[in-house]
Amino acid sequence: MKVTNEAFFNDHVPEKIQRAILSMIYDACRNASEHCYGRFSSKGVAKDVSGHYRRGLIEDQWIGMKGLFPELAIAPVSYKRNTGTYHEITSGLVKITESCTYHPDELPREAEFRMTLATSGQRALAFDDEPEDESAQPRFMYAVLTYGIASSDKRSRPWFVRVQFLNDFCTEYVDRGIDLISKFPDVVSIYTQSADVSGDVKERPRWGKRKSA
Amino acid sequence: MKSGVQGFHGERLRQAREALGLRVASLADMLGVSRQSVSQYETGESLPGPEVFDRLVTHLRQEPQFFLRPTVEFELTPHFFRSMASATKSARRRAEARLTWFREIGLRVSEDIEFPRVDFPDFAASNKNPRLVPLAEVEAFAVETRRYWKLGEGPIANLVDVAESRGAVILRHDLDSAALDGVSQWAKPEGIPLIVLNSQKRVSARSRLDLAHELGHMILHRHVAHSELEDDEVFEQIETQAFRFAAALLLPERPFLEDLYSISLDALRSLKAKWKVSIAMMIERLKGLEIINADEHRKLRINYNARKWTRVEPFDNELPIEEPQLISRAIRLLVRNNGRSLDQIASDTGIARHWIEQILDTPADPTDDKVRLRLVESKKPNAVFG
Repeated sequence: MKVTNEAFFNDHVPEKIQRAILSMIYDACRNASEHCYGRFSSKGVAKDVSGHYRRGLIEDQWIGMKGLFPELAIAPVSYKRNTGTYHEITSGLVKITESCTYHPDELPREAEFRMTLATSGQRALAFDDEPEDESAQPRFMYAVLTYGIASSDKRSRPWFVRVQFLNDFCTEYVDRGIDLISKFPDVVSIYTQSADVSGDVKERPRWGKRKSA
Repeated sequence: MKSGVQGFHGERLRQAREALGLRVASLADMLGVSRQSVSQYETGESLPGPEVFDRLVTHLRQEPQFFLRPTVEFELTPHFFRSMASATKSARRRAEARLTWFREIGLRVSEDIEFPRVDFPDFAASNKNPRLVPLAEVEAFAVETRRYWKLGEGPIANLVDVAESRGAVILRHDLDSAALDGVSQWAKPEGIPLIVLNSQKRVSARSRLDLAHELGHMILHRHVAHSELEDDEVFEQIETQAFRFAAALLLPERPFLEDLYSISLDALRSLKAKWKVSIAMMIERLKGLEIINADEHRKLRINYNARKWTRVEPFDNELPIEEPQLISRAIRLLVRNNGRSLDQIASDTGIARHWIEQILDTPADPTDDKVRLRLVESKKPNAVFG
């Protein structure tokens, strides 16, 4: 019987790591919002910058996650033209990269590294018609961690966080993927509760309120 | 018969001098007498004359009867300090003297007020030589203490409440030294854990660590003899044990690590609001649990310093200080329901009214009725306080 993509992903990415990923996204959203909307007087600038800052936080957190979860391998990879780097995360036979999109159905922007990961050596995904012999599936699975930012509350929360699986040509998702927000409501509650745990305690910005430009 | 003020007790003079952190020479200058004279007053070799006595009362800010009343004979049990290496001997003596006074005030109050029963775990191993207790066992004691006090595994909402409801008497008081965080003592024979936290330290997360540290001493080192602390190696060991106990009590291994998503300052920062523990302590906890190695610890500390968190950590100004309520509520109850005035309590104990007022400085929490106090008929000290 063919193993579903979700089952394969769960087999190779332990639940504690999936929970940590969701926490990390929530925390990065919150920290990016606090920092950028506290630092820049123009909301437009804060919004523009917060995406870059958030991505930096997320990329930085992958390194810290490796320290906590030895089963993770984190490799910094340069873009082809050396215009930047991203981290390629490996857990068991799953390779993960992250992308921010507007909508869960929207594909990440076209990128050579994604095409390479999706095409080269990826195991046959569960949408294929041909039944596969699992024992003959030595190659990895490529999973994209996608998240979108809610525009309310100074972009301090994601509105979706999913693990999704692209076809070989990166032209569509092969299934609905895994909705991490639905899967771990207890993790979400830590970041969305209004009182008694952490929502009650909000750090005051250290700087004074700036006049708008 | 020696000439001078009859009934003068030299040990009270020493106590009052030490409580203000005065050297013999400084006091001698204030009184206009020689150092030898002050020493002789303290040892009882001679008595001060009426004029010197009046000056003593003024400079040491005590009532005259304070010096005419013998000190209460308490069993000698060790004082445990949470302090920096820079804490002077004089600062420690000052803290000890004040702790003794608060103990005397508590003794008096307990004649009319029934305090909660002391319910601290007494692990068999606390009879052991501290040298023989490995840190793994200390960790297990902290877990067992949580179980004994039915605290569950999550964050402790208010550690002061927890300790007071189990019978600890806690005071937040200005110890006049930035190098001292707190001092504690098992009062014997009363059998009460007494803890004074330095009110100069106004950061909640750090103060919780101070209290957890003192609770560690009270639980782990309950039977350690005074003489054992004179051994530097033992002293260092019990400090390490108390810190480990505090860390394990505030941050139990499994739930803390389950909440942690990354070894990074941002991840620790996000846990601070929930666990109410300083980020610095979380870093040390990770090292103690061997989740991070020395190199990772160093990097985190460098990053921590670069963010200037050594001065103020995130949430330091937002997390409320946990104020002790028990002893101040007891005094208020005594005044309100038993018709005793502060002057009468001062007169009963011989300890100046302003020291009692300092206890009452604690802001009263009108909603705090978690710990029950009640007036008792007996005029004798009750089973808790003596």
